[in-house]
Amino acid sequence: MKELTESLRQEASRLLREGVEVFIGYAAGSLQASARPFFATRPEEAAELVFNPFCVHNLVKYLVRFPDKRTAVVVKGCDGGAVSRLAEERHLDREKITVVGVPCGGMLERERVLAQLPPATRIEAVEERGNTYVLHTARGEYPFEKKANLAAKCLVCVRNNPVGVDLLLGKEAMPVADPERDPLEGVKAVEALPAGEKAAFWDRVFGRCLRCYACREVCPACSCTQCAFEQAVPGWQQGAMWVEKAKNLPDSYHYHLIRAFHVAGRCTGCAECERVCPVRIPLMLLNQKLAKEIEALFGGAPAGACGPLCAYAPDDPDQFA
Amino acid sequence: MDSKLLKKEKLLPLLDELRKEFLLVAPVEEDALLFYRPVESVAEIKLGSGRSVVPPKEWFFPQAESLYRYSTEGGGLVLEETLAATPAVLFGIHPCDLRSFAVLDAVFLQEPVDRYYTLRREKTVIIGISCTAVCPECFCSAYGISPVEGTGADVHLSEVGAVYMVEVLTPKGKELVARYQEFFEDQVAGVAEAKEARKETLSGQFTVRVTVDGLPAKLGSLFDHPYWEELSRRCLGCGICTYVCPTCHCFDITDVCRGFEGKRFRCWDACLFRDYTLHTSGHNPRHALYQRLRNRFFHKLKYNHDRYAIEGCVGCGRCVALCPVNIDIREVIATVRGLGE
Amino acid sequence: MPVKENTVTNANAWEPKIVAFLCNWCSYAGADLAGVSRLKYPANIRIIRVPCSSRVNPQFILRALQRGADGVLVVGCHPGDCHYVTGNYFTRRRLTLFKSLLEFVGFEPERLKVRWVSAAEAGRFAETVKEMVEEIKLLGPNRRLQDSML
Repeated sequence: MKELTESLRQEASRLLREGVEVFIGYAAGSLQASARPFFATRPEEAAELVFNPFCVHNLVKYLVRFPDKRTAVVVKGCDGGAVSRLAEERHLDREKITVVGVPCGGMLERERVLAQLPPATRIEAVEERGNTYVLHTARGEYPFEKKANLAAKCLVCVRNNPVGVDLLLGKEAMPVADPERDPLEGVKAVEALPAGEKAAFWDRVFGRCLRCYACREVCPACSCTQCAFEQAVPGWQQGAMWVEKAKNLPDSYHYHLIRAFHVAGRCTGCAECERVCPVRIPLMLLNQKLAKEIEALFGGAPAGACGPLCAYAPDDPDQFA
Repeated sequence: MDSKLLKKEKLLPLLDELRKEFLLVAPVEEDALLFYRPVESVAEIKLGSGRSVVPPKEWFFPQAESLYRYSTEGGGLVLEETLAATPAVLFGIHPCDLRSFAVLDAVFLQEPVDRYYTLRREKTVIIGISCTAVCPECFCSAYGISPVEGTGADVHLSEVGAVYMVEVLTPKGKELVARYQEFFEDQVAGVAEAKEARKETLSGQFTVRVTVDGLPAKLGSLFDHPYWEELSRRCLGCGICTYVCPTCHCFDITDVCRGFEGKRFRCWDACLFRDYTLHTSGHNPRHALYQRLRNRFFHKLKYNHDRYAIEGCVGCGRCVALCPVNIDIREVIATVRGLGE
Repeated sequence: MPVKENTVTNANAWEPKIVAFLCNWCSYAGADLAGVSRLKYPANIRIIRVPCSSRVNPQFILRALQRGADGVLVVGCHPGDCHYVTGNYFTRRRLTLFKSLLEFVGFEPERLKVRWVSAAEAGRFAETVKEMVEEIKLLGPNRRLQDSML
């Protein structure tokens, strides 16, 4: 990972010298085994950039904050789709953006790392040895086998090497997906529940939604300049509001179903919504369910600006006849 | 202050007795997350040292609460206040959250007192519990809180070997302990010392040392510093940090109206949201994200201190642990202290 | 207009409330014809006329259910006959998908019904309403998504 970080810093420094105004990448985080989004604006700041298996964030959404600037952004395979999606929807001017792809051997689940690492142990370096990440610390080496320690989304990932990028760093990453594992096993497990248990499951997880809207804010597909759920009108005009500001279960259903529906066919599967949720609502189940149905009903997303729900085929399946 | 002992195996039977008289609110686990919720059986209670996602302030100041109902049916106006609180026991509150009640009291108990908050506060007996471990995000020591301190609780429990040392801290606590005296035993020598020793051990476990001396004054000169814009670049503008903060107390009041009937309620609001300061005219005095983020830190680290002479942060570490983009208030404090004016 | 909460005094007295979104060009005319032809169908539906079935935002459906409807009926022109040429093709994709989402979260799929009814199909309209009322009666009142704010 050291070489990758080195070449990342070199390229960032070069780009910043050559006219890129903001380089969006990762820097080390303040917590053990963490990284954070980092915005370099001067070539010397490139020295703070890192890439390691804690760089789980999808940085693409930040691009929309810099419409007038020349930017560069670091993307993993799972983040890359969001750039083309936002560019197709004309939220981004692709000409102004340098997309820097990094091959990714999977992201470690932070909780699993913390559970196995002694507290307050500083990670000095991360080494990728085939199917294992080795964390080098002052107290010695800690190996983390990928199969047992990667984030769920990484265990089924087949997009280890980003496509459609302007610059690809490092060496090609070996696929880490476990062929035995069904990417949709979570969805199928819920589908298999009887209706009553489905209801109880969603009542429980939506019941603890805080309506912090982190899932919306982080989502690269949630790109509306004004969200349908934004409380932009005063309370006394509440007829114009879709959900009450007060937390309640029916409105939480309304929010989550519509959030998932608005990104249906546009979701690029980065799973950031699920990662940021402070109460761990399994939002990817909704996104994956819709993706699965779209694939089955309409044969996947056609090329086009806003996805399969803005298109049709005269011979689409018809259950309403 | 009275001191008693409670054998470990008597804790659940005691809580079970309390449950018969009071509404028992205690930490429960749901999908590996801790929440303070009313329990029907003591078997639901999760004992131990974890930190809840949502702070126990929720009990006194719920995320959404109804203030009154109204009806204009038939041309008249009928108002019906929904002010009610059941006698309750709030069990298992850690020292940082105990301090947070003092911060909220300063806001809600000042004149004119908030009747909804006050009523719940009066009817609730708080049983505190000492921490047995320090999380990597904790920094309560910065605010002079020790992980075994019971200030703010009515009765405070500290695990020492096979017993809990019971500190009876208020008249309310005294009444409770007297009423359930058969569960308690007299203090024996060595227990208080063991608790002190635990305090020493835990104090050594904080991963980050935070100093807040002179912070409010220092911040005053940094309102226009470019640091806030820089910090806000990675901020998502979500409400996680405010909703999981034990001292954040901003709320909004709205009506729900259905025909001739309606309800007025209040609910938590977050200064990170765009609409928090949005005027009816469309003007937004904090239109940029950096202004909203700056306001959060100024409120936590300065305004609260200036207004109520009590720090607005208790060092519980929830925002540190849950911020998806690693905005770490401990780092903000350290950076601000080191910034030139 | 707000839909008042259902009050169930006894099981037999409960009548379902169904909000029906009817496309202006076919289905509303079909319902009109049903009336002119004196066809009988249950009085459980509240009709909202929309310019096209594709006007029906899934949020309308959720809001209707939250505000007291026991079921939602969306009726549009037959695919291929849309006044706006392609509107109902979008409706078909959107609502097929939305229905599967509702089912996924444990909601009875019968509470959302979509049908194509032309201006000439008064009988089909009456039948659709009858059928839906029967189905919802079997399910009972919608409590799950109903706002508890009042």
